[in-house]
Amino acid sequence: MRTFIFSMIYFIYVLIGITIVSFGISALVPGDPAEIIMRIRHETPTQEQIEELRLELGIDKPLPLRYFHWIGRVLHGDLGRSWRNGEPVLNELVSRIPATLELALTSFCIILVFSTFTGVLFAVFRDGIIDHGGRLLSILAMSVPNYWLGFLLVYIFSIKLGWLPVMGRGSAENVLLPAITLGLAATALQGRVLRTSLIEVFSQDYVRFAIGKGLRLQTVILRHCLKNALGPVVTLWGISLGNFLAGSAIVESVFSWPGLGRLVVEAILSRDIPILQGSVMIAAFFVAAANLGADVVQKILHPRLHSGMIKGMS
Amino acid sequence: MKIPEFRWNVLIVSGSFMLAILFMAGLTAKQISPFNPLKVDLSQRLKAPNEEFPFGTDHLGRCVFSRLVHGAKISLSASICATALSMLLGIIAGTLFGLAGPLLTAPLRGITDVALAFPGLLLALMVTGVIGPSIIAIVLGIALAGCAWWTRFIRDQILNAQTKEFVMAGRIVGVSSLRLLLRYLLPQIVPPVLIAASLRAGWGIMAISALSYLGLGVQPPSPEWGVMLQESRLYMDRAPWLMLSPGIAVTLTVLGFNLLAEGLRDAFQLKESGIF
Amino acid sequence: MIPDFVMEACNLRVITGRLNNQIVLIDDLSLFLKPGEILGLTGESGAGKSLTALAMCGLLLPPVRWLKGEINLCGKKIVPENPKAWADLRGKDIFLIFQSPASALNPNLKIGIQIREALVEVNGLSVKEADKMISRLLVGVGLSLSAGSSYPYQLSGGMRQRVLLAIAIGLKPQVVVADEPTSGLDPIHQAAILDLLKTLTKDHGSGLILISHDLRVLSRMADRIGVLHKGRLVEVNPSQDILQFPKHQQTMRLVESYNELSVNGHTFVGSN
Repeated sequence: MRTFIFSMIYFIYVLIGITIVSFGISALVPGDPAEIIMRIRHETPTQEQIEELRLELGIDKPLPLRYFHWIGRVLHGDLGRSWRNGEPVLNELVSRIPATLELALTSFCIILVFSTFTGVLFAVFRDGIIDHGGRLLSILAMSVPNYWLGFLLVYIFSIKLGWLPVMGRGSAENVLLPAITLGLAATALQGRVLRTSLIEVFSQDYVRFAIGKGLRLQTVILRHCLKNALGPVVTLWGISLGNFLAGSAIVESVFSWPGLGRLVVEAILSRDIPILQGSVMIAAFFVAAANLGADVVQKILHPRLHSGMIKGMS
Repeated sequence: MKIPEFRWNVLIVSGSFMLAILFMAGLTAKQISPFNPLKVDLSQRLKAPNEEFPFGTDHLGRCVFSRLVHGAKISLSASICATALSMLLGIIAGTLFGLAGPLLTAPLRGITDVALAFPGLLLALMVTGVIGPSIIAIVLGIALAGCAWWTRFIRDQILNAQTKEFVMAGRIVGVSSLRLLLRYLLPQIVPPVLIAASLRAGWGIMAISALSYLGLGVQPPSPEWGVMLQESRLYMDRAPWLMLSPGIAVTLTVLGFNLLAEGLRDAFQLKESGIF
Repeated sequence: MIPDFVMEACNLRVITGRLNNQIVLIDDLSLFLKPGEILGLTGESGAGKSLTALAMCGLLLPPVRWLKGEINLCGKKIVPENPKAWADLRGKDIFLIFQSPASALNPNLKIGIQIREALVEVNGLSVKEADKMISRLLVGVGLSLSAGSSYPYQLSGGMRQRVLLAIAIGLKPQVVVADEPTSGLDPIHQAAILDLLKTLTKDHGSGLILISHDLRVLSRMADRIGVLHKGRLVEVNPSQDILQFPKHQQTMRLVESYNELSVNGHTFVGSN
């Protein structure tokens, strides 16, 4: 229990860091924000208008003061307004989250299932043809840039074969290609890591003891090997889930997927700093939360590693 | 104190062979490309691969092959600059953090954890968002994105190296701190750093072309692979070769780096941890 | 017909290494075990005691492998060409108590689960029946009921060894192989563990192969003692004969050092 509380405190610590970095974006933007806003809205600013806006933005105050002012508003759910269209940033974010969530969770399920499956397969048939072939295919899968992979999949399955829709969000079929594109490299990496971890576990005494007890092979592999071998993979799963939830700028752009990643790109292209700030902050929040989740799962799976006693005496 | 025995293997050879060819192509881009990569010739647009244009021409009649080899120069040099920059900063910071002792561990871990909460590409996107899209911005962005990762990585390696018995023995017999660092600790981290550098350089290639694809990196009409892919989008159906060659170029380059890294991993007998 | 032997091993050979560079670890090892009998195996470190235990349960870890010979277990014949035959026999007919209980128990599973899975899958009990039996077993080996819901790291070395014994008692196999069950335990725990092993053979009629480097333990427990030297079984004889009239040079050396220790220590030859 104490370790969980420690995890939570650490999580809050990281969250505070995230808000500081996100705030830093607006502080570091070169040029006068007031002028940028005017230019984005295609207005020719008069000196008075600029002065008025500067006062409204509180730009004349010192940075720490501005940070505390800003964080106070953030805690009340006010993330500012878009420079481009004056909409509240929060509304914009909330409208994008469902799409990213759908894509991220689908992709995450794909990597969970396939990395576990391939990891066990490679480990059971280690040093055979499946294992060596699988290694080369995995290296290849990690080398294909995902925007190009998206292109190829669209070209083959949507344009040539006409099986799946080309782009956009809608029915369940729409999510398939982007989810595969997003998850392929992570699946390949995690399958290999699980294989290595499993092979290490296979040589442990407790696995032989479990076999010696007369347990069925699937019990030995699932209950005794897989659970103990998941350690390094769970960490990677957390990282993947975080990255997916943060929104993939690339995959979402290739498939015209209306999620957080595309919002970041749109914000950068139109220099809409409040939107950039808000989406970056929520993305980092997701990453930190996913890491916390992986941490907690880790502690449930492997209670021994996290208790005071590291190793039992023989 | 000593680097583990090194054995050549087929992965290292094939990876370095692929990279050597790409480097040669990039270095001699001016000499081996048959056309100026920027030369527009609307009478020759969207030609399929033929004797004159080995990889065909794009929508403005530019020679795809010439653009590809010039693209190799841009991608490789930008990625290597970014990787070297972040690695250098990471090695300095990570070594200091690794030697700093337990008092500083928690706050330093906090700083790197905050930085790592921003996915690599997102951090690079933020930098371009702040200073505006350009090649300098993506090199800086990718270097910055790598810094936190490298710092953490080197710190873990240094901490791990310090637990070895011969290091403790060296400390007990009174080897000077500087000598301990240079002769006992740093040599131990050479193999993992080489592997990581190769993997990160591959990632850099991917990130640069990705950002350029999004319109946030190298700007058209520069012959960059991501830019070329972006331009080929509209002609996917009429001229599929346009989309094939830059994608294959990126894949082969990244594959070269990844094969090299995997081969080094075998050669140094390090296990797959997924962290690098 | 009641078989004379619960277990018989003939000409076992265990090797390691690649094809062109094989190293023989155990050679020409033959032994038999009667129901309810305790056979002690001893020898210096590296003589092949633990390997013999693993080989007789089909649990060798590659690249170490069983090359030649034949094992008869309760009337069922196993040869190296058909290692899958072990699957039906492990747990039911033969059970190995590992040398180090700390590494034999899965660190991430509660003790109760590790006992229960054996009872459910091997003895075919329902989960309910198994849970009832677990309480009996735990009490029987002198553990509290709360041990069932603990993780291995929360128990002491002696308690973990008792858990392995509880599993052995629960499974009721025909043959139990115990590899150094008392190493690393204090004398009080040692005596308790040995008593439990003795009860196991008396109550269930299981044959026990007791492996120990400690002749004091074997002289107290074993009906017969076998001496291993460099992978070969050099002498097998009733315990009294081994201790009083050792024939092989290696046996003499072991008995000699044991006598020296005993004179200075507390145990005396033949006191039991």
